[in-house]
Amino acid sequence: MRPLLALPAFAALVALQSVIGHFMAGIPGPRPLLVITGVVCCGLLGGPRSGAIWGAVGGLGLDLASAGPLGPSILPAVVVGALSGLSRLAALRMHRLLPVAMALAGGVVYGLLHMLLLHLSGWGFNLIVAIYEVVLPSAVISLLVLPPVYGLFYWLQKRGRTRSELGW
Amino acid sequence: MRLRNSLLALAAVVALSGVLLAQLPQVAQIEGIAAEVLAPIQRALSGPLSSLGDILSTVGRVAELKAENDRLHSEVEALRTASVRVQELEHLNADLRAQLGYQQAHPEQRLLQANVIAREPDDLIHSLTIDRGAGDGLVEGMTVVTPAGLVGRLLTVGPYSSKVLLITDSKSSVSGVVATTRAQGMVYGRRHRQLTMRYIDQMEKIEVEQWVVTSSLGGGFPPGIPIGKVVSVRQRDVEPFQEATIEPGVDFARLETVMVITSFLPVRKE
Repeated sequence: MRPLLALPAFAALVALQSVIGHFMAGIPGPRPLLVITGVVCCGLLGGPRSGAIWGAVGGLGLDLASAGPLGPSILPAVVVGALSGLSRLAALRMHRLLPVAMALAGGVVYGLLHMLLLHLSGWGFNLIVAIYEVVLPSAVISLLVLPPVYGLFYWLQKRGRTRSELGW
Repeated sequence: MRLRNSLLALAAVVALSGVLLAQLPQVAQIEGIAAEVLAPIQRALSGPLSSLGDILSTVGRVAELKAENDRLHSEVEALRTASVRVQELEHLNADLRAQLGYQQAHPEQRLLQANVIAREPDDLIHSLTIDRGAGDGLVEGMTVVTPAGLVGRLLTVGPYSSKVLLITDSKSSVSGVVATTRAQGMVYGRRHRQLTMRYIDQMEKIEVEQWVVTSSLGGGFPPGIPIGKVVSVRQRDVEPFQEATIEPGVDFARLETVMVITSFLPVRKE
């Protein structure tokens, strides 16, 4: 995926993720993980290396937008991106439920690792309660944003293909 | 031809005689009887024919009515937009009045108003981003308040924006004191946007509905800023300290504007 196409997309997702939190602050409940869903899509569409790279980019954006230290988002996002890419290779072909399964699994893996790293950075919260109240619900609600995010990155990947890749 | 001429002659005779005989009272009586006979029929027909007349005249005015309908629609939309704008201005007016009231009640504090522009991307950390930064004279650690009470402190300050760690965050700790009894303790953030006040001496009498304010101990926040109200107290004789659950005075879900106290700098711990 061309960086010039994907970078603005990830920047927009990071901005949207932080602004969504502001406008949804009055609505109780979890927030969708826009950026992590984007990372999962990059892994599914581009393989484990692409997933890991864009995971680092997306995670860095999340950490910069967050009040927390640098790092608790980057590493989990890299892991999620790489795992998404590996799942695509393992599945041999793009099954229609694969993005759904990986978005859900990716959200959970990201949430658990992110929470653990924050806890180690000094943020003391009840891990079990946070899993039930934040991690799992956020992963589930992220499925709602999967179709538009997947569509966006699929379109970006098609646009970014070189002539030789397109077989011209 | 002959029949037609005869009919014409007869009609002329009747018309002339009618005009000549119209003055006779007997003719007037005949006219009255005819009117009485016709009246009910006319009354019965006037209703439906009137409606038909309205329909026909409306059909003729379709274009004019459509134009007027469009104009009224536009007017309604404009009024609706203006109404929403008025509500927004009323809300902003109330907000600014409250902030002015706070400033007047605390003339010793220098306040800088800021807008909330973003929040934490996930729900694990409780923070928000405001549209003021180092360029406005802000420094890390400055206290952020609203007229309703304490919001938090500046965690990081950029050139044009800053991040505020809310008091409901698990990493936040504020030295607090119960306003009425002066019982001291430490207020920590917990989930569901509530606070816990810990390390309250067992001998202190804490009651529900009492207000907790910032204390001067520690030097982290200006003293006397409302934090929240006590909603429950946990006191066990086997424990060295009491604990109280505090409902924050600030509605963090609806924060749109805040004030930064620029005249107070926290004591830096070496």
